[in-house]
Amino acid sequence: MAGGGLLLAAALGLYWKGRIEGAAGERPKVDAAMAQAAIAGLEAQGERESAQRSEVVLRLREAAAETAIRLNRDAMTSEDAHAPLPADRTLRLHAHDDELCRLAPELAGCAPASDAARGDHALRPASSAEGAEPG
Amino acid sequence: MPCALHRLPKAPSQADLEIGYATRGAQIVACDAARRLAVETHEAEHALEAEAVRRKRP
Repeated sequence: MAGGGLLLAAALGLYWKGRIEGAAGERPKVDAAMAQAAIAGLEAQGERESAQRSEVVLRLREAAAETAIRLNRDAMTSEDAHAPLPADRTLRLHAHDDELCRLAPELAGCAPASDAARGDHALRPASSAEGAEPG
Repeated sequence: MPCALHRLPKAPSQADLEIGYATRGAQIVACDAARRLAVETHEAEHALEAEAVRRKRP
């Protein structure tokens, strides 16, 4: 009877020792999995926030283009809409446009050098919707 | 993508001047929004990387 008790106690001791050592051995794997899950959560959160930021920008661009389109419509129906600009003012403004394009030729709307040399100032459509695009 | 610069047509009218003024304003708003988006995305990516590194440390 006493021998059976001793045997049972020894078996239980071995069982618990195995459990504790096994758990300790698995600990790094569990920690790594938890860290990986946390990082995946962060990435998902980052993607959500990025999509929200893009949406805000899209709405802002659309709103800006809308205001320009409204003004475009009003400008075209004004009394003097088709009156030509005075030549001296036109020259000044064209020179200013050219200067800006010389400073930043990569801007959308700036003519390549060959076109600029021809004096073509109307390469970019005057449409407000297109003009409101950042590039 | 570069920002856009509206230019006056070759023989502009009064309306073209008005439209050009409005279009350039809209272009500034759109371009600044795109710039801000790029900066914020860049900053968010770095913050995410820093946080990931912090969490990986024992």
